[in-house]
Amino acid sequence: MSVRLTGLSRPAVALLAVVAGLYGVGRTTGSGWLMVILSAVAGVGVVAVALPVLALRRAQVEVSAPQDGTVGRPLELQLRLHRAPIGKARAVAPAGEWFRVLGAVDGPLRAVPDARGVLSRVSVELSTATPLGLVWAAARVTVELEHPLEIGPQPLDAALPPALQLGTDGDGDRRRPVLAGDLVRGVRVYAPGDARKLVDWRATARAGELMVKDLEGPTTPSLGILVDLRGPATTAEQTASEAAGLALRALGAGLLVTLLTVEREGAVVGTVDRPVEVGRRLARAVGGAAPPDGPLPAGCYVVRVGPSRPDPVPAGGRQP
Amino acid sequence: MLRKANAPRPPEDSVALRVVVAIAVIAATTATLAQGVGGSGLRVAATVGIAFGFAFSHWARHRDGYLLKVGLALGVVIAFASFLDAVLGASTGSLAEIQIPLAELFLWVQLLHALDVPARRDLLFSLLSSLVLMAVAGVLSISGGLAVYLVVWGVATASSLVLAYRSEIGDLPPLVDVHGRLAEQRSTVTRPLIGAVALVLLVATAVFLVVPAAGAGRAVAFPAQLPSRVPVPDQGGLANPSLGADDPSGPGAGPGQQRASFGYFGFSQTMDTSLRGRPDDTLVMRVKAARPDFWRGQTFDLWDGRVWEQSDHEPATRRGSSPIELRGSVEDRAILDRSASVELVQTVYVERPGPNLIFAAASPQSLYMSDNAVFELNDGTVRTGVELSRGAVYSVVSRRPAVTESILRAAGEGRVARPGTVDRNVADRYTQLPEVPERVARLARDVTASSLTTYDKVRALEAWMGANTTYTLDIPPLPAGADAVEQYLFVDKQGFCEQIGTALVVMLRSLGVPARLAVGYTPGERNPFTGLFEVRADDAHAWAEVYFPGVGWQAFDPTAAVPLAGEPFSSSAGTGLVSFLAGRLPSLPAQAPEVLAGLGAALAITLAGAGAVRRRVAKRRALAARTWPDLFLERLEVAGAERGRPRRASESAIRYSEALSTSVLPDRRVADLGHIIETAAFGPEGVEDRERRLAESVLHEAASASPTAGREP
Repeated sequence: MSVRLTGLSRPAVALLAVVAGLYGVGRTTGSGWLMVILSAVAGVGVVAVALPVLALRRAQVEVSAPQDGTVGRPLELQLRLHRAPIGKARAVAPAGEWFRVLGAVDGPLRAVPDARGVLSRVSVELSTATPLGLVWAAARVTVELEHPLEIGPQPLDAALPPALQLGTDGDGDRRRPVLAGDLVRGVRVYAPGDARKLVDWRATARAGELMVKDLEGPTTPSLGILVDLRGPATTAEQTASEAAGLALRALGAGLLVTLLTVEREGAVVGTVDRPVEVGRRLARAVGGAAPPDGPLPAGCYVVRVGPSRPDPVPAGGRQP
Repeated sequence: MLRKANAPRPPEDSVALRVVVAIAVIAATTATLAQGVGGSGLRVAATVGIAFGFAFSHWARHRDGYLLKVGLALGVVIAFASFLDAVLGASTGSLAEIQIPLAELFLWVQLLHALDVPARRDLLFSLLSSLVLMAVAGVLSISGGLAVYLVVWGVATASSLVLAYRSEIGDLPPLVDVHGRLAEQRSTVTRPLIGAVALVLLVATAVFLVVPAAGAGRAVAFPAQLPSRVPVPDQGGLANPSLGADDPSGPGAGPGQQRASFGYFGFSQTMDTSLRGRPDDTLVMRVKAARPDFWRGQTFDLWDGRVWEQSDHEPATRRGSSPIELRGSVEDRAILDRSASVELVQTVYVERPGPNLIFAAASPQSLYMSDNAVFELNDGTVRTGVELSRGAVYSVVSRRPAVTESILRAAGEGRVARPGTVDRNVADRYTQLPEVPERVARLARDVTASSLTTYDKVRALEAWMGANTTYTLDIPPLPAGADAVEQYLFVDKQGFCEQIGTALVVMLRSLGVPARLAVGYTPGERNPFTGLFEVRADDAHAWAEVYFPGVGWQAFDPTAAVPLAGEPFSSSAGTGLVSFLAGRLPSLPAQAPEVLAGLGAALAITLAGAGAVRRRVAKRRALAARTWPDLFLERLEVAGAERGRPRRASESAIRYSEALSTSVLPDRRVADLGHIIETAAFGPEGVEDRERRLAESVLHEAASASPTAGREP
C-alpha cells in the first residue's frame, strides 16, 4: 500500500506560520522557553506527519463487490478494514463519497459508477490525519475482485417500435404475447396431466384410445437490438443507454429480446431474459467493430441503436 | 468568494473539546499573568472572564450574536488603542519596552475572543492564539516555574487536537450495514492521546537536543529594569550591602550587620586573601547570553603579599540615555579599535542584592539600564549609582578580540614595548610586585624554563599548580606575616580560587608578564529550559588576566575552563539537559541500584506472567468457543499432515478419515472417525460423550502405532 501525504489542514498551515514567527523571536530574544515550546511544536509536527503514514501502512483492507451495477445508481462495496486508523474511506473506482472510519470496520461502502464497463478490480482510498488532525495522509488500495463487477448503462426511456407496441387494457401494458398459441398441430395419445378440454373425442373414437389435441406453442414476438458502439465514448455511452432502455421496455412488454453486440472477444448474439442480463451484456459491449447482423430468430424485428437515433434496419429478421 | 470564505461554520457541540481548549487557553493566560503582565483588573478579567466566555460561547453557539460581535470588535479597538498609547509613551522605543503592553494586548484579545467561539474553527483559532500567548510567557519567563503551565497547556492542547479531529471525522456519514446498524467500532480517545503525547515528548526532546540554542543570534531586545531607585551612599564608590559590616560604602553598615550568606568578600575595594569562608549556593543572578564566559565585576592591580587593592580611586562618570556608551581601559580601546572582535550580548537578572558592579564579559562597550549615569574605572570596571536590588535587569554588549591559541602564542613576538606606548604602560602597571619570596620567583622560572611564549608560560604554570596543589575550600588560616602565595605554593599546597589566581598572577609578574586578578562569577549552570546561566553565590570567583601585546587581556584559570573568544562555540537548546535534570533528582541511597534492579526484575516478571496468563486465557476462550467436531477434525488433520497426508480442500471429513485408514493411519476404526465428526457437527442429536472419548482413543492409538519420522512407536 503506497501512502502519500495529501495536505495540511488549515490549523497546520496557521501553526506553521506562527512557528516561523516564533523561531525568529526565539533566536533574537534569547528565550530558552521559546525553544522548548518550538521543540514541542516540532515534535507535534513530526508525530502529525509520521503517525498517519504509519497507521495507513498497518491497515489491512478487504473489498468485495456485487456482480452488477448500473451507471449513476449507487452500489455497495463490502469494505472490511482491520487495524485501520480513525479517518475516512471512499470508493475511488467506481467513485463514491467519503465515509468516516472509526477503527475496524465491516460494512458497505457506497459508490456510484459513472461509466459502463467491466471492472475486475476496485479501488478504495483511505485517508487519515490521526491522531492530531494536522496532516492528512492517504492510501489508495486496489483490490482484485473474485468476480468482475459489470456496470451496465443507465437506461434511457425508449419506446418500442410501433409494430411491436401492444394495446393496453387499462391496467398498463398487456403482457400477453401478440400471437397466442391456439392452432392445432395434430393429435397424440393422452398422457397423464393433459387437460380434459384437449381431449379430441373424434380422434379418440377413431383410434380407440384416448387422444388429445396437440397445440402449437405460443409464438412470442421477438426484438433484435443491434448495438453499435462505434464512435466517441460519450456517444457510445448514450447508445448503450438507449439500447438498455429499449431492451428493458421490450422485456417489460413480454418480448423476446436478442442483443447483437461486440465484446472484446468478438461479436455476440444472444437473447436476454432478465434486466440484469441486459446490463451485463451492455457492460461488456465495446465499440471498435460493426455489430453482427445475425443470426436472429425468424420473424425477429430488428432495431439498430447507434450514433443516429434508433432505426429499424433490414436484417435477417422481419422487416418493419 | 469572500462571503463564502467567511461563512459561519456549524456550531461545535462537543463539550469535551470546548473544555480542553478552555483549559489550554487559561493555562497560557495564567502563565503570562505569572510573568508580571497586567494589573489586578486584567488578572481577574482574564482568569474569570475566559472561563465564563467559553461557557457563554457554548450556550450561545447557535445564535448569530451580531451585537456581541460588534461589542467584541469595539473591545479589540479599545485594547489596541491602549497598546498604541503605551508604545508611544515608551521612553526608548526598544522592543523590550513594548513587551509588556504587547502581552497585555494579547491577553485582552484572548479574553474577548473567548466570548465568541461557536464553531470548531473558532476553537482551533483560540488554541493557536494560546500558543502565541504561551510563547509570550516563554519570552518573559526567566525561571523554571513556567514548566507547570507548559505541561498543562501541552496536554490540553494535544487533547484539543485529538478531539477536534474526532469531531471533524464525526461530521462524515457513517458506514451503515444493511440492517441500519453502524458498521464501525467506537474507539477511545485516551489511548491514542497518551501515545501521541508520549511520542511528541520523545521527538520534542530529540529536537530540543539538536536545535540551536536561543539567543545565539543577535539580540534585538535589551531588557533593562530597576525595581527601585536607591542611590548608593558614595556616587562612584563601591557599595555591597551583602557584606554587612564589611560593606565598603561604610556609613550605612553597622557592626551589628551580618554578612549575607551569599556575600562575597572579593566584591570590595580590597581583597584580603587571608580571609576564609565561601558564600552558599544562593541564586544571585541569571545571565542570558549566547555563550558562557567569566562575568567579571572588577579587577585588582596592587598586591602587597596578602591583600589586593585597586589603584584607581577616581572613576569617570558616563552619562547618557540607554544605552550608555562605555570607554573601557586604554589598552582595551587600542586593541578593539584595530582587531577583529567578537560581540557578546548579555542580560543580567539580579536575584539578590549585591554590589553595585556591572557584571559582564570583557570588555563591556554599551550598557542598557534604567539609569542615566554609571561610573567607570580605568581598568574597565563599571559601578552603578544605584543599588542593584532583586529584580534589577540590565543588558551589556561586550566585545573581545577573536583569539585562538595560535594567536596568543604569536602575540607580542618581536615587539619591543617602548616607553610611552600602551604596552609599556601596561607593563609598568601590571608587573608591580612587592618583594617576592625567592623560592616563588625561582619556581616560576624553573616551571617556565622551556616555554618560549607568554602563552606557554601561563599554561606551564597552570599545569604545575594543577599537578602539585589541591583545590579545596577548607584551608588553614594564613599565619600572621606569611606571604599568601608562598604559603599556598610551598606550605599548604592547597587553596581555592583566590590563592590559585593570585599565585598565577604573582609568578607571571615575577617573570615580567603583565597580569592582574579579576573577580566576578564563573558562567554558572546553564538552565536548558530558560536558556539562562544560573549564577549562584558560590560561583563567585577570582582568576588571572594576562596581557598579550596586540591582543589584550585574556582570562586564565587553572580551575575553570572558558572557551576563548575566537574558538568555535556551538550550543544546542538542550545542551546540558541530562546533567541539569540529574542534578535535580533527589540523591539516591547507596543501595538504590540494587533496589531498582530488584524492582525492575520483579516488574518484568510480573509483566511477563501477566502476559502469559492473558494469552492462556485468550487461548482457552478461543478454544471454548470452538466445538468438539472442529477441534477433533483439527487433531485428525494434524495427525495426517504429520505423516505426509494433509487434508485436501475438497475432502470431507468422511473421505479424509477413510483415506487415512488406508494410508498413513492403517487402522480400520479410523475410517469411522469422519462419520463421528460429521454426526457430531451436523446430526440432529450430535454424539454422546462416550462416542467422543472412543473416537479420541482410536485416534490416539492409531497415531501411536504409526509414529512420524524420527519418533519411536
